[in-house]
Amino acid sequence: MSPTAEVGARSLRRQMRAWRRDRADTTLYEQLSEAYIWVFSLVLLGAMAISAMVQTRVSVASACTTTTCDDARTSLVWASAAGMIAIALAAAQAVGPVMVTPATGAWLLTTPVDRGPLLRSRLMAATTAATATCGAVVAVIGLLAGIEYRAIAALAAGTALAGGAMTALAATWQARDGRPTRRLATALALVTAAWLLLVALDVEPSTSSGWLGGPIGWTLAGAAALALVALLVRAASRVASLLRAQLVPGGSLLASLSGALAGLDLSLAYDVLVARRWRTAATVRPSTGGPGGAWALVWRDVVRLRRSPGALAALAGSLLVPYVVLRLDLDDAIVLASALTAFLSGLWSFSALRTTGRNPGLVRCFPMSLAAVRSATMVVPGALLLVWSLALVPALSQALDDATPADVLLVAVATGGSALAAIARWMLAPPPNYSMPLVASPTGAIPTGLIVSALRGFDVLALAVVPLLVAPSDNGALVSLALSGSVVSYLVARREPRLG
Amino acid sequence: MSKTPAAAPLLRVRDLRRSYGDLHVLDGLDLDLASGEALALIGPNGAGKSTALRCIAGADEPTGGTVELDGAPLDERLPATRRDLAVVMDDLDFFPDLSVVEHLFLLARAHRVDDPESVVHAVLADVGLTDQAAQLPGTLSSGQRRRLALASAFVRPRRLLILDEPEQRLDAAGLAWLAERLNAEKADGLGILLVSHDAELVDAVADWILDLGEL
Repeated sequence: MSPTAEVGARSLRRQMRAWRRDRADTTLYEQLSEAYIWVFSLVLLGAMAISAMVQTRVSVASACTTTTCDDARTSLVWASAAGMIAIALAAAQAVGPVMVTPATGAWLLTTPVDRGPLLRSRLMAATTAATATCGAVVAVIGLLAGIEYRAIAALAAGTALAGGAMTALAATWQARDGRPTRRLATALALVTAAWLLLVALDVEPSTSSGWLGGPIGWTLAGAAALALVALLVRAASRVASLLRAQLVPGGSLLASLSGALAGLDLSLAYDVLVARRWRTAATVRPSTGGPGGAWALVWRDVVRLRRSPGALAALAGSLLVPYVVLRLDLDDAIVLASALTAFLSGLWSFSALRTTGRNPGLVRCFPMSLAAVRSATMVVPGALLLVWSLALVPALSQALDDATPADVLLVAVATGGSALAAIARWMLAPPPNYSMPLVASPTGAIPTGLIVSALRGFDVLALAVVPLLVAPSDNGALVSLALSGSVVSYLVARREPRLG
Repeated sequence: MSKTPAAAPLLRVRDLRRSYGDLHVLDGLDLDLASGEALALIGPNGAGKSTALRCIAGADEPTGGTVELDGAPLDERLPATRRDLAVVMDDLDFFPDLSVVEHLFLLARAHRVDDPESVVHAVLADVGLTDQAAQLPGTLSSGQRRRLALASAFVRPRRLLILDEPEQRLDAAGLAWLAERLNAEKADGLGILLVSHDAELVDAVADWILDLGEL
């Protein structure tokens, strides 16, 4: 049999499209007619979201009565632009940015098809996603920060185009394992953190946003557009030479993440990311020392800290959030913002709790009770949260009026306790049970716990923070601590029947 | 099957039953296992071998019957039971951020093993994972992960070994090593309860064979 001539990706796509259309049993119009509830809901929710943002813009502006607050708001918009570009780069490095699904990798990339057109469409998709996300997020932040609408448009357009350009740049670096992309993302994240630090300390350089809506702003956006086009052309000319091994891992990651998110299981998405991070690392320098008994588990968390200095730095960096909130004159929001920040930034350090929480076979190997194993895995990350909470004291002492030092200290510790309880709930809650009776919905049958699973952690956070919002004093703090303690005690001591 | 060893049994199972609705997977299993002996559960797929093992090890809840370790009801949630019971089944996963050797040191230290250095390195060499000592579990092959799971049982004190198809994904040399190792464990006075499809391994190790397909 003679070798076949090179097959065009376009003809293959046309063939697959024809197959799909052959199997379609409804028209687009029929689908839209049936989906009118969803369209209506989307429009309604979108209108509500925009209305809420405009209202928030007004209330933020009315709360911001000092010059320093105005400066902080403008500076935040700049920091958000840098931060979003850093996030776009990090996401590009994680998924490729050019990637294919495992099925495409196995069925299409192994054929004598010209990969160029196929991969160029993936490049365009990744770039478009980065452009849209960067633009939307910066526009929302600009809107909330209260800068002029014309300035918002120019900044959002510039950031969107820059984010797209950076994604295209990451595609040109994909063949080099994405190391330059990682370095650039880290550098931009450090710039963002440094900028936030200056804002928190009230020593940021004078910034204004008025000029953004003028010729200079639009010239910069035009320059970003040119950079995007140039980098996109350069990347498009190179994607065909990417190896399958450089394309499939990103697709596998996205497939795993989308599977977890389809079940609204954020903990599973966390597992996927953690597994990917350590599979990429492949080896470590073993640390074999340490104490005995349950303290051996505690010591392993100390080793983990040494092994992940970047994550520890991120936790330390997240401490800037309450101080920036303080600069924005949003004193009433500082407890909620702090608890939420501590919750989100503390998650990474509880990986041992998560591993033992979902792995009864592993827990069975330890000569101690389930509660002892779980408690041991919470000692080091819990201590980190306590230190984080204590570092919150100066911000709270400025934000809480008429509070004694003891009140402030208790509120700070209770804020950290809220985050700890929320993390324990997030890590240890069982996934939705698909063997239980299902509930009928417009999208089909869903397990009863599916919606609740998306709110895991956040529910406990809200429960424990409410007393602090109602009474930011020793009384509120003690009630909050009692609630957090009860939740943690229950989760740690809870025995699954005949498991773990 | 019911057998009665001369000494008081280390493990005693009576009338063990497990049903899923109307499906009776286990229906009145009795067995005794003494220290220093090995009992192999064999039978075709679906005969209930792994279910029996899971019920005995406490990973699944039996519908009825009793499981006793040293004459007391076996509750794998108790620390004392966990000290005595080393179980290797398919539900054993690993910490994604700890290397092979770190897993073994963690278990050895958690069990307060005397001289963990020599024990861990001996087991590591025994299971043939010395070259993979610094590797993280996510990068191991399925056979290497199986070896690590077995190593996790050998690196700690134990009186009863429960193994679910330990031969899985092991090569010929690995199987030979496993048989030798299990016989050494028996000689040291351990009881071994295993499920296996490998006739050679069963012949080499088991003192008693229980075919669940014939019950």
